[in-house]
Parts: sequence; C-alpha cells; structure tokens
Amino acid sequence: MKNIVIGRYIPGDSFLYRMDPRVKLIALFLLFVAVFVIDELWVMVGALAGILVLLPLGKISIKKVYFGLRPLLFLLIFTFVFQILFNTQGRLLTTLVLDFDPLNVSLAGLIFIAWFYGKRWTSFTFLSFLLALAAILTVLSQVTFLRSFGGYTIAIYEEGLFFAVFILLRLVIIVTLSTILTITTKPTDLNLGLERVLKPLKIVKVNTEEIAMIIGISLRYIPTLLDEANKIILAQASRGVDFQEGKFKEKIVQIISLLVPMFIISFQRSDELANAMEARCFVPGKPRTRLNQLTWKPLDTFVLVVSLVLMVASIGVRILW
Amino acid sequence: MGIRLHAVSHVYQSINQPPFEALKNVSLTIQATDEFIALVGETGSGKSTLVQHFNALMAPTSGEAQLFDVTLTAETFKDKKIKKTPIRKRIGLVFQFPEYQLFEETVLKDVAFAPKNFGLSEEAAIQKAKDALRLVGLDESFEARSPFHLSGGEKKRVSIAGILAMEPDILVLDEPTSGLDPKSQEMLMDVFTSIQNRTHTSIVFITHDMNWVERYAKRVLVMKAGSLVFDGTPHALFQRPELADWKMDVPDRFKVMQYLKTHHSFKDPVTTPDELIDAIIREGQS
Repeated sequence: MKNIVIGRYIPGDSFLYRMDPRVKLIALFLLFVAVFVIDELWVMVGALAGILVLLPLGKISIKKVYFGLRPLLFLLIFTFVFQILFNTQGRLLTTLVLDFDPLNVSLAGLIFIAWFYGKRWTSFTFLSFLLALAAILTVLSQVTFLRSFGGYTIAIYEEGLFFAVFILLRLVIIVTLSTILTITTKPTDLNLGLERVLKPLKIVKVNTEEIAMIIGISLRYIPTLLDEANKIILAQASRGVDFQEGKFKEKIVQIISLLVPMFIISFQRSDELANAMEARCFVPGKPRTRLNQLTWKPLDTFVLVVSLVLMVASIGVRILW
Repeated sequence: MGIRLHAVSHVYQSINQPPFEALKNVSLTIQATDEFIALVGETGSGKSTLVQHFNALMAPTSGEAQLFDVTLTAETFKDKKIKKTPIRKRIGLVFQFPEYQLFEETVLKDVAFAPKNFGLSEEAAIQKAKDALRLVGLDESFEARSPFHLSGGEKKRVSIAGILAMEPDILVLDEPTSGLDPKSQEMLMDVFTSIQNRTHTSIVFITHDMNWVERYAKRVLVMKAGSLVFDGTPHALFQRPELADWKMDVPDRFKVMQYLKTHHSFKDPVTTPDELIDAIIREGQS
C-alpha cells in the first residue's frame, strides 16, 4: 500500500523538477496529442525510447515509474490479450491448435498449480507466470496422449499483434508521462500551474480557479487516504479480520469493515479541510497572491518548443506517410 | 511467557523518503499475567510501531518477536501458513483513534464483531459484547445506537469494549485516555485494574501523563528515538536524572515536593500522596 506512486510527489532535483509547472502541463498535453496521433509502430517505439532516455536524464529511477505502472498491469495485459485473440484483420501470422484430452489438460492444470504455489519462493511472479503460460500452451498444443474431446485454435493476425503492441505502448507512454509529472511537481505547484493554464477559459465563464483547486486537493489527498486505509486495515486486523483469507461472504464483511470507516474519515477530513480553509479566510474566486511566483526560464522555452515540434512532427508523419 | 522481543529493529521503507529506523535493537519481555506496564516516550519515539509488533501487525525487519508460541521474523511473517489471527486474539490491541474501526450500524454489533471473527457463535458474541460494554460503563441504552452518533469519549469506550469482548490474555492500549474528560479517564483506568484483579490479564498502555504512570503502572518502558532507554518501576524512573533529556515530566506530587524543597527547605523524603500530606502538616506545625 505504501508503494503506490499515483499522484505522489517524490523530492529530487533535476531539470524536470526545475521546469515551470505551466510548461509541464502544456508539454504533457502536446505530447499526449502526439502519442494519440502516431499510427506507425516504429514511431511509437521511438517515442518510448525517447522516454527511456528522458528518465535517467531527469534523474527518475525506472523502478519508481514501474511502481506507477504496476496497478495498471492487469489492464495492460487484458487489452493486450484481448487484441491478440479477437482482432482478426490483416494477414494470418500463425496459428496454435490446442487439443484437449483428459491427460494433457490435467498436466496443464498441474503446471498452473505448481506456478501458483511456487510463486511465493520467487520474486519474479510475472516472469514465472509467462514461463508457466508458455509451458501450458506447449503441452496443450504439442502433446496428445488420448483421443481429444475438443480443440481450440488460437489464430494471431497481423493487425491483432500490431494493435496489441501498439495500444500497450501507447498506454505505457501515457501513464509514464503522467507519472513523471506528478513525481516531479509539488501538489501546490501543480495546482498553480493548472490554474494559470486554464485561465483563458475564464472568458467563457468557466471557474478555472475552483477546477484547479478541486484537482489539486484530490491529488493531494490520494496518499493521505491510502495511509488512512492502511490504518483501518490494521485496526480491523486487530479485531480478527484476516484480509488475506476468507470465503466470499467473509470477504464482503471485510470490505465493508474497510469501506465504512474510509467513507466516514473522508467526510471528516473534507470537513476539517473546509474549516481550515475558512479559518484562513478562503473565499472562492477572490484574487490571491502567491508565496512563490512562477518564473519563466530559458529551459521552459526550450521544452515547450521541443514538445511542440514533436507534436507537429507526429501530425506531419501521419499526414505524409 | 507472553511477549518476548529479541533485538528487534524496524525500518520503514518509503518510495519518496529515505528509510527510517523506527525501532532500534529493542529487547524486552512481557509476562502473560499480572503485568501493568506504561509505555512512555515523546511523539515519534516508536511507541506505536512497538505495540504493533506485539500483536503481529508488523514484523521486525531484523531480530525476532516471540508472541506466545509463535516466533516472528522478517521471513516467517510472510509465510501464510503461520496464522496471525490467533495471536491477535490472545494479544488485543486497541488503537488510539476509534474512527478507524467503528463500522457496524449498532454499538452492540460493532463490539460483537471481534468475538464473532474469532469463531464465537452469534449469541455468545452478543453476550460477550454486552459484558464488555457494561465494563466500560455504557449501559443498555447505548446498545442499539449508531456508533457514529456518539461523543468522542463514548466512541473511545466502544472501541475499547470491542477489544475487551474478545478477552485477550494481554491487553495493549494505545493512549486509552486521550480525548476523555478527567473523570472518564480515571474510570477507565480503574476498569483496567479491576479486569486485571479478576482475570490476571497483563496490561500495556501508552500514555503521556505521568500521574497515570505513577498511580497505575507497576513497570515503565521509556522509548527515545526508537530505542528502549528505560525498563523498571515508576519509582526508579522518577529518580533518574535523564528525565528531562527524555522529554519527560514528573508526576504533580514530585513538583509539589520540589517546590516545597526549594521554597520551604523541606527535607522529608516521601513516597505516597498520604505521606506528603502528613509531612506538610508536620512542617506547618513546627
């Protein structure tokens, strides 16, 4: 629970930290556009390579970004598998004929059970899962002992593979970019940056300061609420709740025993926050001065130009290629 | 033997902060019966981390914790075959803030939650819950009320009753008296004493108030910056010259004594409040 990175600021010092939050937000937006415009796989791979170069330059350890990606691992794998299995456009690349007979199905089952119980002794759960999966597929497709009672053909098409890799890369890039933003930007700076970036919307009567404040407060409270959840889990564990085990019915009680205090504490916290803001004479929409003024540095111009060029280039590639 | 910690250290690993050593090489033993221990120390000295080691919510990063018949180390803690729940039944821990645990729709159900989790039948759990509520001084009128509509002090009592209902061998309380009025504080401390007199339950409580330490504790543990710096009787503690260095106060009686010594050249050594009163009367007469 403590290792969840989403929305968490990690102190450090590099050019990514020194950039103006406004620039970071605009650059992020431009790069998002670029990533969504790209439709060539090699460009996408190039973009990922670019980010992998950017991380060490900005002194952000890849491990921390990986922690940011980890909660999305399931989503990533799901989209990947879905695309590969069900997209049937383009040229047929390869097929894998699976034959089910009682013996090889039970053998496959055994491999899975071996992985399931063996995973606690290895720190590479995911890697060992891939190995086990490969072994299961090999057993099901190559070994037939008895008369099979059914079969299934996994067919992988060119488009399917292409989109699977493509969407995977796109998601990874987007999440990595946003993680970089939250890791390197203090919530207050992010808030201020958002407020300034959204300012033009004021012309059409959008209350930009409040939007910025809502987003800022939400981001600020993610780690706080995670800590609270952790405390609740401990308090309930003291009363005999075993969060690691339990049948379905017990699981429901466990979740309720976590969610109810969570809800109540969230409301309490927001109430306290509202009081604290009011005690400091906060009035929504009133012009406010800042302790730290934003300063525009040559670095900011440079980053802005680079991301603009990247966006234009990706649009250009899309149109001309 | 109840709890035995041997050279326990605990390091908090965090992704956005350098590692923090909350416990440094702590060794101590707590008997399963008749202990009445006060755990004191300034904020951030590792008291809460320490008590979470007592009921297997945390495991030592190095060293080992023996909790009744289970020995926990960094490795065995991860082993799912070693069940932690039975330990938590024998060593009950009450957290400082009741908000983190109250969730049922009635007070009675909430207090019965723990005994039910430990395998008691519905009726038996309800009976235990009723007994526990009486113990902490909440009568029948509270049973059907929602725990969220109680006052802070009442919530606190409900959360304590929630642990008392499972009748642990060792009762660990994280600041049981915080947020209560003086009268309720005293009443609760007396409840703990009477529980001990009846069932010989060992009691460990965290506190900042030296008057409670002097009045109730048979033994004091002092934490400072993650280390256990003192383990002995309250009387021995208040004689220690390092008290100020440990950011610790003395009981009010000692302050009165100190005042009388400096301002009225008072010499009599006294140990109990009654002796103090006698000494003051004698001094007044002479």
